Amino acid sequence: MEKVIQVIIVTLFIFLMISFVILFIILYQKRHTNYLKEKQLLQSKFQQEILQAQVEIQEQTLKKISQEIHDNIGQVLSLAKLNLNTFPPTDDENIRNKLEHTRQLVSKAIVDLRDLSRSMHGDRIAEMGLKNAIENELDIIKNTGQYETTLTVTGEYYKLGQQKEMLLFRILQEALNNSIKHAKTKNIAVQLNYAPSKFSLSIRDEGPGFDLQAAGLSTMGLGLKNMQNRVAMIGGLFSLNSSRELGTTISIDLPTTITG
Amino acid sequence: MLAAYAVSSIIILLIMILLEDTSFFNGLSYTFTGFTICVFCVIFYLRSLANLDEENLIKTCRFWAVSAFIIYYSISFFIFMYYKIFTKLSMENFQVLWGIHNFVLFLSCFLLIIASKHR
Repeated sequence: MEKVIQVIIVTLFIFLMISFVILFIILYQKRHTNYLKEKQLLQSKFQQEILQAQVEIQEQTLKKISQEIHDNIGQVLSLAKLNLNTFPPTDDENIRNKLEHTRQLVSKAIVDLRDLSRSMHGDRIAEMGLKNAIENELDIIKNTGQYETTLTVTGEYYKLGQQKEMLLFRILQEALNNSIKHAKTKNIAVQLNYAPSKFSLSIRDEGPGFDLQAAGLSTMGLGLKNMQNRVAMIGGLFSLNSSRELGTTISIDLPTTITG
Repeated sequence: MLAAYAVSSIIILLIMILLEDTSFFNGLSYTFTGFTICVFCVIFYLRSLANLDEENLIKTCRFWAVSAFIIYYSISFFIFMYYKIFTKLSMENFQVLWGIHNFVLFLSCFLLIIASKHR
């Protein structure tokens, strides 16, 4: 009987030790999961903050350049145009033609710089609204005479908020820049869809495109990576479709809460 | 920590030299060794809980090895401690103790096999 009690006590102790290890495993797993979650949250928060700072710095820089173009270079060119207008009339047709041509060139430079200044200035983009800002941007490209641009807007227009609109506009600029640089095509199409619960923006070019699977995501350029990060920052979904036959389409879907 | 290892090793050596009965199983030094290992194992567990890392401890070799040690030594601690008393009482007790010891040894070996499967 005594022996049985001894065995029972030892068995209980063995179970106690095994339970201790199992309890530790459960406790550790719980804490470890929480730790990983917290770490991930902190990392994404940190990344968001870095991105936010990056965007703010970029906006400040662009604003400064835009102001310089408008207040300094723009003024100088206006003065130059004024001077050209004050030239005394001449009978020499050659000089007259050259003067007229120079006047036209200066006028074009003034208009182009004004457009450029507008598209750089964040506050002006906010004033104009996303739709008009995109229209303005596409006009600039179209005015070069090398590209055909189309803008299609569907749904009832609503504002997305200043920061979101500015980020979307910068993404569009980057995408257009990529199309101009890499796609050897004349046609660039932008589509805006203002659905009640979702806003969509897509930029499509009919260029040669590239094989996404062959290129792999690791070879994604810095510009594309930046676009993806910016879309994530405003809680959107970024997708890139490209094929040798159909060209490249960048789509952004943004769930919306209408800000009026 | 290194100092703690050194101190406990010296104490075990001193017990073996000064207090142990050389004609019999050296249960006292074994008991103290078992106790020391259990303390270190508990420290390991507490430290692991306090200093969490990205690596999951359960998937490491050292967790299973430490678990094998704590299970073996925590139970063997009592066997070593009362070995002399029990065996002096009867030979039957000796067999029971030996059986328990072998079972615990099997259990810890099983955990060591699990440890060897992890890196």
